[in-house]
Amino acid sequence: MITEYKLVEAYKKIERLPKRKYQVIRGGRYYDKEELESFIKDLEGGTKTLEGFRIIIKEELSMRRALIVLLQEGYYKLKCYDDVTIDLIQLQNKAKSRFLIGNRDQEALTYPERIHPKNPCARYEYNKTAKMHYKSALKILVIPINIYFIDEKAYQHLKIVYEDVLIC
Amino acid sequence: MEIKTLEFKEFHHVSYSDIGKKYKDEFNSNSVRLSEVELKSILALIFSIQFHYPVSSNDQIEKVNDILYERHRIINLTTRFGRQMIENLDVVYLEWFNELLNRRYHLFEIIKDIELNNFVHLAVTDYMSIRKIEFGKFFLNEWSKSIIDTSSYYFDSYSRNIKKYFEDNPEKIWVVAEKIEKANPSLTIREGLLLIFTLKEYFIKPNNSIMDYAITNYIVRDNIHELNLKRSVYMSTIREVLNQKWNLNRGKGGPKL
Repeated sequence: MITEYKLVEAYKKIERLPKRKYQVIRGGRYYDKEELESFIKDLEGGTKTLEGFRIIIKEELSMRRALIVLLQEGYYKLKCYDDVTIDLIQLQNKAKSRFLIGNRDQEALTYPERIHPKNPCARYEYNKTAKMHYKSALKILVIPINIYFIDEKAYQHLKIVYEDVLIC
Repeated sequence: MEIKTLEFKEFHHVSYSDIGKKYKDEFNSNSVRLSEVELKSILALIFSIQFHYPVSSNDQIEKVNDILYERHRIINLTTRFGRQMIENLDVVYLEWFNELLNRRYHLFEIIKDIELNNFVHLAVTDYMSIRKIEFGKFFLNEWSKSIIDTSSYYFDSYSRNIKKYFEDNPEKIWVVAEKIEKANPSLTIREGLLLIFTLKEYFIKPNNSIMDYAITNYIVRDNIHELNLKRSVYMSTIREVLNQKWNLNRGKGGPKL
């Protein structure tokens, strides 16, 4: 029951959420990546506590980016999507439960290869605009820190994909 | 690759109404090409709408119009922050922005334009996962100007007392919670927390408040309409909190009666 919490008690709980003092911003100009990553983990650790105060800790993410995360986590080891059956509707529902997904930017997210191609350099060789959009979509997923991936290996693999796309 | 904090810049904002007046002949029918300032102003508004109301639905029309027509100072804060993010766009997104600048738009429906919404989502809104700390700080600083009434004759002396209290008792910020609860027991925990963060930021400006800032971001994101509506309630609660006794040396020394 939310009403059981008194404000003093609630505030003290919030004070205890960070495991240590963080210096997330250095010199007022730059984020310290490790500090930011640890801080975000502590914040996520407080999700349940904060839900009790009806504060929802969920990151906004465009559907394409969310699907890239899920396709990457589920299928990054595969060379192509041909041998698997992927239910995009199910994947979209999964995305909605994990991230805050809006519906104001609906793209044509019709099949995995279009959302997160297995060989982006070849796919976008003659389509500069599509490549730019893909590059833009990958950027915050890989740089600067891992905010969105549960599977660290899938995250590290995507960083390599991103570096390839930057130079092809 | 470093992540820079936002560099807050001076900017010129053009309201949607003024853009509508300028292009009144084309507004409902023909497409127009916008100037850079006009497009950036529109993008900032789209950001604010996406941030507060990510899922569009018919029952939100008036709330979205509050943002679009900039009816309330507090709600406009998000648009101002969004504009700062647009002024600080990374080079990857600038290329895309320049493409958008060369397009023509139907002003009547520009807020729903899928390409613009897509751009704002990818280049601005999704970045709130990092910028939430900066947004929380920005919001607390700005909104405190709307809910802390500094016009009272006694404000300066109250202010000195409170600052002194926290200099002497930095670990006792929870006392603010106690006083807020006493001043207005009907506030929700969420509202109470926001008021604690506000007073803390205004009077103490501690350098370890990132958790407060991040939480402020989520409270504001999901409740901006209510926060704006109840502004006068928060204002009188804070006035009452400041009026309460901030006894510096309770029980210490002095003649016993």
